[in-house]
Amino acid sequence: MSSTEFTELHNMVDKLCTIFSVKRPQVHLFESSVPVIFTVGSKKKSHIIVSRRLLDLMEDGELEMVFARELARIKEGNVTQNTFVALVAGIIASFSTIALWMAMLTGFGQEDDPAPKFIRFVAMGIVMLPCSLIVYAGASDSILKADIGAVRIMGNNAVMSSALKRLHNDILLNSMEYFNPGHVHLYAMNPVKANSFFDIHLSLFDMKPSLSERLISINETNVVAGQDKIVRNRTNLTEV
Amino acid sequence: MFSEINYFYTSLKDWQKAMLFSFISYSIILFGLIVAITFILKDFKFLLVFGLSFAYMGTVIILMLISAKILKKRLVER
Repeated sequence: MSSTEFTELHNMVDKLCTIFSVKRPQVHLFESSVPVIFTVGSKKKSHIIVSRRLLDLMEDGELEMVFARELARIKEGNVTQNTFVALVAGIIASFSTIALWMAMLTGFGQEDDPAPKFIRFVAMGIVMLPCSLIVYAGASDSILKADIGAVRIMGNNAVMSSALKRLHNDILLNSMEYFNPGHVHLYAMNPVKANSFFDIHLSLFDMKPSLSERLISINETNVVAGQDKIVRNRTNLTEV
Repeated sequence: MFSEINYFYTSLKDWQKAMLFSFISYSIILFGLIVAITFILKDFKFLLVFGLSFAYMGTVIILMLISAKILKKRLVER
């Protein structure tokens, strides 16, 4: 992401890094119709990857909050572990896509024909179970921690709740893209969903906590009164 | 008969349906193994196939039961 195109966004990240006392991550933008944001990297260098749709969808405060959430994850120190798990689980999960392509390239039909879909379905049945177990066993269970950590430091539960609801609704209504389910633990809001019968194996990645549990935890988090105002003054945000 | 199958299927949660189809997928692998062994040996050895099926399905069922326990704890049930 070039510095000139998204100056305000870079300024916001800089200021959030100061607030969270973390090393500044590199921010990358990718084109997608699904609002997703996630962090990968190592202890030395982290990368926040954000979709164009998320930048378009979120209001200023909400955008600040989802970035704060990613910085809370970096601060927790589990980015390396989650990235490694995503790599391994992602490779395993991609075998079903390879099976689909092999079926298409060997003359079983096109992507929407029943035969390649069935072959992919069988391949998914084989790989998705070990893949989901790797995700659950290997990834740090840090969704709630990141939510609460960001809310505590930023001091505004309402904005975080609103951001999560907006992400959830947009993904529920508009998301038709296929995301590798091995990466499900990285996202702020899970974009992997079963859109048809042939995607039923993706329901193995519908991991807890649910949105309602997250909202309850966020609402129960104590924030220091007036902290929000202080943070807003420090960041002095302008529209992206 | 069909209504009972339908009732059983609709009563399953999404992740349980996924596990059911996973089980079928693993059974397809076993079928492929039996066909391959039979072709290689040019004979159907009942004891060998029975032993292989028993060991394979036993392992699959045990691992799936363990997985079901883990998934029940970790999944949002729909």
